[in-house]
Amino acid sequence: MDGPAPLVYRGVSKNYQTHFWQRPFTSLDGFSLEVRPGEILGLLGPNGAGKTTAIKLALGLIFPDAGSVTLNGLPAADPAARRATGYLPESPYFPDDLTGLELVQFAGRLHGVPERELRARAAELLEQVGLGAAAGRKLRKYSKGMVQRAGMARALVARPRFVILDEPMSGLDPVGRREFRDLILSLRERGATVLFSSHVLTDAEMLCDRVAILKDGRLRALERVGELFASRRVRGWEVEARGGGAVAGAELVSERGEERLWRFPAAMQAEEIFAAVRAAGAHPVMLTPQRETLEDLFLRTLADEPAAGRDGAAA
Amino acid sequence: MRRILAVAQATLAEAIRHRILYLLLLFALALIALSRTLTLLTVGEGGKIIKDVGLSAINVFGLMIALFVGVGIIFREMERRTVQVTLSTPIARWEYLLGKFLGLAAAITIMVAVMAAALLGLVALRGEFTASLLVAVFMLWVELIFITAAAVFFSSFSTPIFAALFTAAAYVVGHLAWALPLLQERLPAGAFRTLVGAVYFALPDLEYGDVRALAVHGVPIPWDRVATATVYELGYAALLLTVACLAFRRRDLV
Repeated sequence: MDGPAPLVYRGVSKNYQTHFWQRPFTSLDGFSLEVRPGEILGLLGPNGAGKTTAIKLALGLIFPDAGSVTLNGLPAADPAARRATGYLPESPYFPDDLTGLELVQFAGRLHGVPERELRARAAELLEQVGLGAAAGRKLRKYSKGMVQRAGMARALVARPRFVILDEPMSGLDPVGRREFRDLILSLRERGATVLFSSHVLTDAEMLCDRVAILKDGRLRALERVGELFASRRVRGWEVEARGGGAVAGAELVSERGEERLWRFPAAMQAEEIFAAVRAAGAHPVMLTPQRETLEDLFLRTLADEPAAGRDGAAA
Repeated sequence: MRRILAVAQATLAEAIRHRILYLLLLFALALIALSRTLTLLTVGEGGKIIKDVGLSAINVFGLMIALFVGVGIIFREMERRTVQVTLSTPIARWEYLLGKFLGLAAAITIMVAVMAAALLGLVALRGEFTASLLVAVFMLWVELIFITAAAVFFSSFSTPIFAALFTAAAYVVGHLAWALPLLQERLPAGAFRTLVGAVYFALPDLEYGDVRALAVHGVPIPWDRVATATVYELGYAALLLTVACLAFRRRDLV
């Protein structure tokens, strides 16, 4: 999708001064990233990597010590930049004496949604996130997952073109996670851009067009998930075999009666593997390549020294 | 404007759900009612006692409401990070602070109105209602609006405990500042005298607007004093809010 980038970080650094006698803590260090229109970009990284700092900078809640942040073509500190942006914070706390409907309506008023359509839109969104029946209930009577759902409805009340979700799946049950995944995908279908941070790599793998991996406040990798899957390397082979004894060069993974699962190193060829299995008196049933997952990439990136992103940072 | 009103409405709704507010209001009303009993201890001064105790109750409990509810609401917003959720929308920070102030001011106004209604009703029952009593209540309200602005001002850059302490200090200092011009008169000309004058100029003088004694004794309150004190205190409040908005504009909300 063409158009201006909804969010651009250019050489952003952010330090926090906890106490005046202590040295400042660097949360982001020369961070550059461009979120492209219409994509779902996953912001991944261990705790303290700088994900939430990056999100707060985008929303103008904190200010960079160096570099610039542009949201929807305007400086992030400009309130007008947030007009077309929805935000779901991590573990959100909302005033608990509001009802779900009041919460969404309040956000709608701040976003300038016309009063005449606000109530209907809020009710529709709450229905969409599965809170239709609980819309009139106070938030203090909501479970954690329900608060998360209300937060999602709140984030979408202005029909934003850009949605920032900080750990959106936390507190959700498996059904809720599935529903949120579908909702995030539907946002992309209607042309919205989504930036979301997550610790759950399977969610990122299923949803994201690209993933940015942060560590110690720096961008360590920026990968297209599609390309990652197409080119991901084989990290080993698994062979299901029947009968026989120990197979040379293989590690026994599991055993059930006559059926055994053997793991071979990635360097071996299929012919060599079959030959080794037959040499042990076993009959090979199935050979499966073990490909690299996003988790492998994540762990490898965190272990490596700074690696240039394959997909480039801010263009 | 709609965003400011939305925040003000939400703040008012939160304030009037505060339990401590009802507790303080109950104490104030109880004290006003009790003042009628105190009249039994004196002869011929009953009306004055009711007015004195009633106005003091409005003053003290109004101050406590402004402190606990005003600082408390902003404290909770910061502590629980709801402020971040609100400011992630297209609202400017000054709009947010102004909305908070207006919501708190509306809550204070309702509380003062309820306490004043009880006091004025009691006085009217005795047939001792005077316009100066109404003026005194108005001036108390103006002072509480100033205190609310001070609470918002200190909360915009300080931690909640300090904000509460500073706000209480602003009230105390405001009622003691009148002594500074007297001190200045007695000092010899020089740097210290100039300094005392400058400190007096910078500090709020709330005593000038305190017309309780006049109202209690049924002395007519000069309108120019009421007008000057109102403009002075509300102007000072506006100044505090302006500085608060400037201080809050670039504050990191971590």
